[in-house]
Amino acid sequence: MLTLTEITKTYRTSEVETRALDAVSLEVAEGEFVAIMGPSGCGKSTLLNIIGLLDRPTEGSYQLAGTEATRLPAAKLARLRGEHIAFIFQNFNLIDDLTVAENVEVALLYRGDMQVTNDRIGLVLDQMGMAHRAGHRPQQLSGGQQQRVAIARALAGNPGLILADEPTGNLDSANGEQVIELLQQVARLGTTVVMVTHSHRDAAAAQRIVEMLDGRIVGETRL
Amino acid sequence: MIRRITIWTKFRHFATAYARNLQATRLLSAIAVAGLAVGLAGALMLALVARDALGFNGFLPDHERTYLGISVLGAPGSVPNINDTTNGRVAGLLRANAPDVEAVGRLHEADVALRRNGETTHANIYWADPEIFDVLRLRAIVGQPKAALSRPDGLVMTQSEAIRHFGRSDALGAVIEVDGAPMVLRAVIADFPTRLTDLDRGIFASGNSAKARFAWGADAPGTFSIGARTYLRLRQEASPAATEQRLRPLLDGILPGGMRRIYAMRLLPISALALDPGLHPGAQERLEVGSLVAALILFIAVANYVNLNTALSARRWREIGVRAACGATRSQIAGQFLAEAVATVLIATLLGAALVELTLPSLNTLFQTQATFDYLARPMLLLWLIAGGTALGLAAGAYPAFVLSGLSPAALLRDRGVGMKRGSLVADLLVTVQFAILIGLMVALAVVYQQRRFAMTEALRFDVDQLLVVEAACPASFRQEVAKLPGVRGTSCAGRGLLDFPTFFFAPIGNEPIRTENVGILPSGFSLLGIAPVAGSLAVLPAEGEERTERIVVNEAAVRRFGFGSGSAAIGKTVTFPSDQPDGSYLRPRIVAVVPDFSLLSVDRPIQPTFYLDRSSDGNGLGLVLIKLAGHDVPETLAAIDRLWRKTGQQQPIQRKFASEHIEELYRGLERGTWIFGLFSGVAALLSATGIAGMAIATADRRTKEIGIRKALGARTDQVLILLLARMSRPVLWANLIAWPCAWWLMRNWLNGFAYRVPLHLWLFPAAALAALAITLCSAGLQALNVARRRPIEALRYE
Repeated sequence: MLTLTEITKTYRTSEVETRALDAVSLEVAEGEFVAIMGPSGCGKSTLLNIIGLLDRPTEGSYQLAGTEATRLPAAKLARLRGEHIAFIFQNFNLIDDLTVAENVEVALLYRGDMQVTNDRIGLVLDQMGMAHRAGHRPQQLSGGQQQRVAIARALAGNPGLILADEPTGNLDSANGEQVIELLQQVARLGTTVVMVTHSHRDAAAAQRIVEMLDGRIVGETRL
Repeated sequence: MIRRITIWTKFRHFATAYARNLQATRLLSAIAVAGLAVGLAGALMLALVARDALGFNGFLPDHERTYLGISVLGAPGSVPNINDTTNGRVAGLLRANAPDVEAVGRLHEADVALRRNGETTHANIYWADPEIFDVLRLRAIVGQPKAALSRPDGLVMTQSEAIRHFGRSDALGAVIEVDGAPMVLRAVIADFPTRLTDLDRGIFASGNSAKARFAWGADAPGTFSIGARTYLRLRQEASPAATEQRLRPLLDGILPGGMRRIYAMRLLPISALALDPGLHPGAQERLEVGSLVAALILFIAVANYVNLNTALSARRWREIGVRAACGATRSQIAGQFLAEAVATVLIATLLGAALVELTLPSLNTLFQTQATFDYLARPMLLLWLIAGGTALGLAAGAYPAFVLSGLSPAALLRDRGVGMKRGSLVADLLVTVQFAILIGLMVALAVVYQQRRFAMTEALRFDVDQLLVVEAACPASFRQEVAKLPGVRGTSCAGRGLLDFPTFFFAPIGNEPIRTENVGILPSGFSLLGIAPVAGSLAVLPAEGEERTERIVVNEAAVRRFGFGSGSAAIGKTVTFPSDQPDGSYLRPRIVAVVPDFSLLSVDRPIQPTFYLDRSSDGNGLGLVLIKLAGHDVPETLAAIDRLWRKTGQQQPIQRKFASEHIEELYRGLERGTWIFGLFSGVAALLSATGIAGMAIATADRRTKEIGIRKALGARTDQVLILLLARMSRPVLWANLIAWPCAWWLMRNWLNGFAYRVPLHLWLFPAAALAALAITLCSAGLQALNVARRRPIEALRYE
């Protein structure tokens, strides 16, 4: 699904140069569920942003679904992101002014060529057990419910790759478990999942754990 | 069922997002939209007024090469008198000698008696050459206007005049007596658009009529009169200057010798008649000042909107980040915010238009304009309005759209929009300019107000208090009876030139003719006006004047202009003055007194050298009775004066007014100026205050963390409050750097337009700055206090 080769990311201010990623290479197969672990500041989120085409590497090569992404112009990057990638965030990132259904709809709006079943939004909300809350606003939902809406939004566009950044970080353990189970289901159906997490229990649900330290990959465990 | 995401789905989604955001920020959005609506209403009203002035006579075919001959009278170096008529013979000269003139025709204004079916009415008409319809190609409804006026009894009317006099618009052949001569309606033309043309009467009677002949002024030898409105159309590419040049020697042929140096005829495009400074002094300036003020108000409103919109958009960091994460390109995000800005401005435009509809009648009354918001009759106006609103929306939305779409989605989503919360240089700049405008407007308001007060009090240089003016040719019996009333201090008589523009002549001093005005006034009139001579004595003159003008009073301007050195040096000097005898002889009266310069005319014109004559030499005779009231029992005294008017056998109803009322009429222009600046300064202050208040609310969160840390480290509420207010006041203080020099330069130029003016007081500038600061502190203070009083734990938990 994706291949990162010798990816380096450097942040420069006038006086300080910080190397967030240092020659990271990683390959993730289609339908694989990979967890990335490491202490705070080790570069997990930077790596996830680069994989999600939200940020560009300073050096190195990144191939997503057979396309070299590092040199694409911004508009093409956005299109590639819309076609292949969906995100799940620790803080859910639902839009407060929109209802649950409208939040899910956002994932479909920027994909001009996409054909969807008539009630795609209803379907994914139903899958997440949130159909009865379609007309509610995010503030009216519990944290677990909000994260399930966020997962529904991620699934709505039928992406090949789901990137989850600490998806259980703001949830209690019961809700957290449910979210991890949902991600496992998604992966079983053929969608690639890359998850950043601090939780060993969550990471244990993945097929592979990649460990990072100081901007480098320092270990891999296949489960 | 498989379907694509349709345009409609997208539209519905974005419309919902827009509406929900408006709802969530309703207070601040309402401030921004209301401000925009007021700014747009101001701009729209001014555009409507300007449309009338700039599109003057635009309905006439070939108006761009049609001209009116105007007379310019004035010796070199003096302020010329402009008149919109010229000599009746000029049209013939042009027709015979100017090949560039395609057509020429004359109109002569007259007030005539119309008689039909035994009923007489008075009407303002034009005596007109048939050729006038070659020049002014007014649309004929029935008949042929030019052919109609070729017959000496021919009459052409506009539709509404025909209906008024004959009950229908196609009454060809109907007869009406014009000043006793039967004339026949032979053509009817379409009505003119009111206000958009100098043609202000709808009846054209044949200039070939025997009744009309006097109008064209067959001048007696040695005289030259003006009174014909001479319109002409030049050929394509012909230059009006060349035609004026060609006309010059022809005019010299008919001008009496003494007038050749002081008379010139100019060709004025008929489209420029409404704004010509000679014919309508101040009209152009009023339009320019009005446009400037409207543009400034619009700027304030747009700046408010841009600032509030940018600040409000900060709450949408999550939405921007999520949309970008879902594949939205930068241009798609910018497009969304631009479309929202256009929608908001269009809503404001709609509200502004409603405001115009509501307030236009009152504003027309206030500013003496006749603007109409006739969008039903002129659908193009609506189209312009929508186009203008869209353009403004794009301009106003460009900055927020550019900023928001350029933010990194990764940073937004990771740092919870922290990237958007930085202070913005552009926002500070906009607030600075906004307050600079407010300070400038306040200075302008104060200066205009001071000048108005000055013009109506000190600049008069004589005492108008309790001075009653009765229009009458100094009837002796009336004056004697009035003088006996207990509420009357004294009476005298003066010529109309005291209140209206006086007649003037060119006094030959050396080789230079000096424009000199003459005003009739009895010697007793000076003491009634509280004017004492600076040299010589009025006592040598009999209070009721002399039979022959042998002694004369002049003003100080005459002493200076005639080079007499000083007032006392002028006493005993002889001046030359044309007698009112038909033989054109001159009188040589001796100067017996010099009075200070004073004028009951507008202060925007310098006081001219003036001869005060004690007999009827100013052409209008002694047309005014001056009555100084004692100031007690005024209503009773006025009633007694009215009774005496009838008792002493005066036929006409009494026409009286206080001199102070005349002054007020005179300065209605300045009064309107004060109102314009007052009104718009108020609007600007309100907009700026709401803008600052809105900014304070919208950006309060921006500093919440900082305040929390400061308070956790021991800062007191008052220290935090001062910190917040100082931050908000900074752009207001910077604004003075822009406002002071601009306002100083503009108002100094404005004051220079007045011959007599107040000094530009420097204290006005800091005073206006303080007022602006007070507005800022009052409008932002409450919100700042709220933020400053928060407990540090709340502030820190926020992050």
